Order: sequence, then C-alpha cells, then structure tokens
Amino acid sequence: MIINKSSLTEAQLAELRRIVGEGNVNTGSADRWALSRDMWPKTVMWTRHGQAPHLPDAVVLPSSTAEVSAILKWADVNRITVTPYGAGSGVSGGGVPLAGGIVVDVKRMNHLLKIDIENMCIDVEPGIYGERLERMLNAQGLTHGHFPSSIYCSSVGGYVAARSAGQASSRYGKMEDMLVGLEVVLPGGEIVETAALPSCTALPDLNQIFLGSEGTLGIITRIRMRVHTLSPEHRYLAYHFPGVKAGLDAMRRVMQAGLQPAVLRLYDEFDTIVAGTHGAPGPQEEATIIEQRSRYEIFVDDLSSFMKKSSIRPVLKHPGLLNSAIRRLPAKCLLVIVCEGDKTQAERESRLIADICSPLAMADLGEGPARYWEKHRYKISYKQSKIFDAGAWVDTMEVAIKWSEVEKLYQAVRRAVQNKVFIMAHFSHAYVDGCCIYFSFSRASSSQAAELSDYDDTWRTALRTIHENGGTITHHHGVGCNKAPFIPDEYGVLKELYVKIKKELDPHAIMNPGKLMPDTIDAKELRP
Amino acid sequence: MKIDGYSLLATVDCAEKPSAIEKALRTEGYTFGLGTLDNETFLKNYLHGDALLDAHISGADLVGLCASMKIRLLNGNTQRTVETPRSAAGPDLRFLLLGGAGRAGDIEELALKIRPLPDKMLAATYIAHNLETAVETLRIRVQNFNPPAWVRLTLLDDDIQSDQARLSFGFEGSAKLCEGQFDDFCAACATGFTKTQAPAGCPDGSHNMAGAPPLFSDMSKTHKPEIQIGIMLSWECCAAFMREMKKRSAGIYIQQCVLSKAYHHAALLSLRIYSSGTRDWIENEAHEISELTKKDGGRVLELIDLTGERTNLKNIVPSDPLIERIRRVI
Repeated sequence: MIINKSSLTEAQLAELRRIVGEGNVNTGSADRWALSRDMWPKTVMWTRHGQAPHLPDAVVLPSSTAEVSAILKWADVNRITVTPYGAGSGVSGGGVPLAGGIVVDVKRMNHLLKIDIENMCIDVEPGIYGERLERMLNAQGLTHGHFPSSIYCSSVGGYVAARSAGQASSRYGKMEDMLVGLEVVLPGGEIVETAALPSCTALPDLNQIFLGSEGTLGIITRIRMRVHTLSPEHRYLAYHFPGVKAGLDAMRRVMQAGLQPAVLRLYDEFDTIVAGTHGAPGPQEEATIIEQRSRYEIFVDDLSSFMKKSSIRPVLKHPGLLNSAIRRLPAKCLLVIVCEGDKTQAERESRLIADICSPLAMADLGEGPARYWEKHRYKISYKQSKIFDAGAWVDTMEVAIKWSEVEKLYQAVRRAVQNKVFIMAHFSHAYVDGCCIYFSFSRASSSQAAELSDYDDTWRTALRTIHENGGTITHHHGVGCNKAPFIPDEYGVLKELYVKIKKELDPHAIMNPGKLMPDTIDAKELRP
Repeated sequence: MKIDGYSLLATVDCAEKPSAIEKALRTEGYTFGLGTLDNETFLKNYLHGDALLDAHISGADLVGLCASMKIRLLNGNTQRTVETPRSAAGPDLRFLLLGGAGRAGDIEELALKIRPLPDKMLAATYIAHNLETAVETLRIRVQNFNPPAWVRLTLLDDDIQSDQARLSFGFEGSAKLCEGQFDDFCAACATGFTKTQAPAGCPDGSHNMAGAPPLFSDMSKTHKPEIQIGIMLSWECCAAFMREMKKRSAGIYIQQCVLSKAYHHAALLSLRIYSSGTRDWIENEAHEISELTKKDGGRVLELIDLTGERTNLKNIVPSDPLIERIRRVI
C-alpha cells in the first residue's frame, strides 16, 4: 500500500503542534492509515484489498475543549476538513475522512469528570470507552445502563453522535433517553452548551439536534448523562415460540403492559439456532426436544456448525439456496428476557412477563438461554473477522418500525435480498409502539470487484425496501456514508431544514463532509 | 382520527383540541393520558407554543408522545415523518418545528402514542414531617424506576413556620402492575410520613386519565390570579427553592407552589401568584423569581400572564442564543 505524504504545509502542521503539543499531531503512514477507516465492513474490504482510498493528512489528538476549539478555529480559517473520531467502532463509515483533511481523535479526552449522586448524572469526556466507564461506575454501585455489543471498543462520544442503543435499552433507554446535556465545539471554535434540564414544553431541544449529527455540526467535548443504581436482582426467562409472528406478539404485549425488562430479544428461526438454547432445559427435556427436531432442523444445525468452520465460502456463494433451506425449517423462535431491579421489582416483572408469554409459547426454557446469552453478550462484535478470513463478507442492518408493520417489513427485506445474501435476524430494542429488526447478512462474492458491487447492491436493495415499507433505515448504527444517499428519502422535505442548519453552523462545510446527507459533497461520487 | 390499536398509535388532526381527542379516544377504549390546563386550546398551540401540559403519565409529555408528524413547510411542501419508535437517521428535526410558533412550518397531523384505558387507578396522600423527606422520597422512587403517573407535592400553607409537606401521587395501568408499583411507593413512605384519609385524586378521573387533581386549588373567588410560572430545577435545589417561595409570599401575597412533574434528574415546580390588592409589584416579583431560578441553575420554562394585561414580562423565560440563531435561519 502506497501512502502519499500529508498535503498540509509545514507551517500548518506547526500551528497544529502549537495547539495540541508536539507529540499529538501524527502524519506518519501507520497513524493516517489506521484512522482512515472504522469498522464499516466496506473499510475492512478496502484493507483486505490493499486499498486506503481516504487518507487524512494528519491525525490530531486534543486533550481539552480549549484545544478542540482552537483546532476548529484553525481548520475553519484554513478551510481544512475535519473528521471527528472516537473509538472507531462505527459500522456505517461515519469516521472515514472522505475528503482528507485532519482527523480529530478524542481518545485523550477520556475522563469521568463528575459523579452527581443526587441527580444521578455523570459528566464525561467523549473519548471514554463504554466498558471502562461502566467499571468505574460499578465501583461506586452505579451503572450507565448502556451495553452495546461493541462496549469494549466504543466511546461515549460515538454513542451520542450516532444515537446508539445498548442491549438493555428496554429498561434504560436509547442514547437520546440517557443524554442530559452536551458541550459542543462548533466549526469556527465557538463553545456551546445545551440545556441540561428537561423541557416539558415544546421548546426546541438542542440535544436532539446534536444527537445523531455524526460530527457534521461540531465536535462533542463533554457529555452529561444519566446513571442508575446497580440492580441487585436479576431474573432470567426464555421461551420458544412457534414462529416470528407469535414471538413478536409476546414482545409487543410485554411492552404495552407497561413492563420494562432490561432485555427482550427474539431470534428468527435460523438466528435461534445460531444463538443456541444453551443451559436449558434439563437433560431429560433436552432429549425430548432433540427427538422432536426435524430433518431440516438437523440439516441447518449441521450447516451452522459447518459455517463456523473454514469451509464457509462455498456455502455462502449460493445464498438463495441457503435461504430457501432455512425457510423450510420448522418454526421455532427463541425469546430471551432479563428483568432487573430490586428484589420486589425483578420478581414482579418476571412473574407478569411469564403470565403473558407462557400461554403464547411452545416451550418454557427456564433461565439457561438468557443466562447463556448474558455471558456471551459481547462476543458477536468479534466474530466478523473470522467470516472475512474465510473469504466471505458480512454486515448487519438495524431498522425500526411500528408493531403493526414489523413482520411485514421483516419478510419484505428477506424477500428482496434472498438471492443476494444469506440473511437472518433478531428483534430487540422494543418499545410500546414498535421495535428494531436487526438483520445479519453474509455472502461469498466471486472476486474483489464483485465483493464491493454485491455489497453496494445488497444495501441499496434493502434500504429501498425499508423505505417502501415505511420503516427507518437505521435504529442505532447511524448513517455515516453508507446510508447517506438514502437520507434525503428518509427526511423528505425536512432535508431543507438540516441544510439550513448545516450552512448556518458550518458555513465552510469543513465538518465531516459527505456524511449523513450528501449536502456539501456528493457522497455517491466519493464512494469508491 | 385513525387508531392503530396494535401499535397503540392514533393519527390526530392538530386543529383539534386535546380534550376532544381524549374524549374520542375514550369512546374507543384508549387514552393519551395527558390533561390540559385549558380545554379551549388547540393541540397545534401546544405544539407550536411554549405551553406546559398538565399531569402526565410516568414522565411523558406531549413531545414524548409524538411518534410522527405531518408537516407543511413555509414553501408549501408537506412531509410525513417516518412512523417509527426510534431512529438513528441523523438529528431529530421534528424538534425544530416544535415550539417554533409555526415559523419553520405547520404541524398538521400527529401520530400520537396512546394506551388502553387503565384497569386500575390508585392514589394516596401522605403528610411528610419535613419537605426534604418528601422530595428525597419522590426522587429516589423516580430514579428507581417507580415513577407515579402523577404527583403533587406542596408545603403545607396553614402555618408559616411549618415545614410539613403534602405528597399526593397516583398510579394507573394493568391491575397487578399498578398495585405493585403503588405498594412500592407507599412502602417508601412508611417512615417520615403520616398517611391521610383525604382523597388524593379527582374522584371521577375527569382531569386526566390518571385522575390527578388540578394543579392549583381555585382561589379566584377571593383573589385575582395574576401569573403562573413553570420552573425546572435539579433535585438538590427543589426543597430550598420551595421554602424560599413560601417565605417570599408570606403575608404579602398568595402563592401556590406545587412540585408537579418528576424526572430522573430534575423536577418541575408550578407557581401561581394571586393578588388581593395592589398589583404593581407582581412584575418585579416575576423577574426576581426568574433571577433566583437562574442562580440555582434552573430554567424558567413558562410564564403565563393570567390577566392578559401585562407588558413587562419579557425575558423571564430566557431564550437560548443558539436556538434563536437556528430559528432565524429555518
């Protein structure tokens, strides 16, 4: 891989060094390459193909709000584009510096600044990792309640910038529920704070404008967010339902009954097999269940085991066949539930959920599957590289829609891409009025060129189908450059409002160009 | 009105009054759970203005109950936002239209989150031996996922020296959950409180679905209502602020101060000031209360001139410079 020299002048670099210190402006090849990508699978493909199409000219590491302010002032004056960067765990390409310029990496701003016990809030810097923050809070008997599967490699600033959701969102909420207030540095260097108190009037809420803005309106430098007392009690439940529809109905009834289990996850037929029903039921019941398995189920079990081994590529070359086999599986979907709180709350909630689920389920699996899920909850983020290693590619897509349309959207997306990729899904992040569908899809393409075109083709087809069926194209991964071409359709005429705000706050279009909405640079043209 | 009972959403016309919407929903077995101070105000006015809605369900407010909107921008273009529980597709631009007095566009329709009429409503009133105990108990219950559907917390006003407080609260929902949550809250009031036999809510539940009583008792026969102020304060400032309000009004004017909404990290105080004679000082008082709020790091959210005659009440509800900047360009 040939990496060109930074195009910043020595004088410009000297100014940056003056702001953040000598060792905190990196122009070396390794640093520039490492921060030219995030965890968007397409950037993994680029790397595997020996490409680095969007290198920054420098990586700058500020340690304070004042330094970020000085950097953005400098960038605005010099018309240098800026890509904010946290942990780099984003999967939509939000951290890819499409137009070069500088990457502002906030990893040095990684402090827990304040714990306000009375108001149960904390102040943190954006570069602190979720898992480290959780450990620091646990030591005080607290939790932030945000558990994305990327928790070991993702930062709080990223959670806010992309409207993240964690696995316990049914109880603790999504990032927009957890956020209390922000400090943001605007392009040009102005430092602003959003109101850190709720507004129960219809006053415009600035938090909602910076949430999900993915670094296109400024750099988040301080976050005030909710924390909670660590739950002393947990209750685990799991059921098999006779298909997705029955399982979704149970989830809906739980949420609409006013219950707030921390975890409520339903797996479709194939994802149920991948998730497994480890730990339950007891040996005798297990034997009965195994006897009841059909030939197809055994076939798919064998297949999933086969896929976990090295011969994955031939199987994934024929996604249509694989999807067809999966469709003939007997309908059986796993729902795992975790309730928490004090003893009374956890017991009451699990009892009421059991009252709802038991009559609808085909089997009560006891505690085992939910306990197993909890133990392995963060592993999924580290499985993708094995699939890439095996010569295939994989990605995930999280969409959301109201309850009355969930199953229809699920089937529509499956149908639309069934001959392009092998696809499975689970349903999580449930609300009173709807839920998120989390698709995982994979394929082995015939060549490197085909890999990129298959990938784009699959996303285009899926996102179009989602809009045709009334869903949102992202529930918690954000937009980045992957979904940016579809945002005008999602926003419709509201796009005009965003463009006006963007022009007001970032008149020289220096902030993360090509992201969110192709407003200043045509993201389609920038995509290689 | 179109009701999607499966998703618990109702598409409503914003030219309707919330009271009419609620009435229509109830005939179908649903509610949106919010009471209003004024039965004559249209839904649109609440969305475009800065008016507070009264009692709420578990911390919800009108903005939180809005699942999607049909919007007409000033250039005539219309758009229905995606009807989804949540999205990560960039900033939530709906929040630019709310409270914008129609400057950015007109909200024509809302998909409103609704709920089935509750099986059960339970309410109670306790007298706390001191205000701190009452505020602390309420704070801890809310922060521990046990928020009441409505709450009213006031200092007893019969004795200037008294620090006793009246805490009324109500729960609603499915019978078992409602009873459990209500019992949890009552158990938290076992120490430091005396339970009263006084009815806590509206007997007929007419004020809102949870049967919350009106925010203020009606004193208009003997005193003239002058202004009403809504103040959001972080928890640690609430008790001292309420006590200060009582002290300020003592013997000078009549003031009702009610902690009326409880959030994870803050609470809303609703104040109403009445006069019985000269009224010149009222505007000054409003400004001073606004300054005290600012000093405590709080936020004046609403000021209603109940006389409709005052001209010197500007700047009491502070505006955010960045919001103003954004409002100017959209």
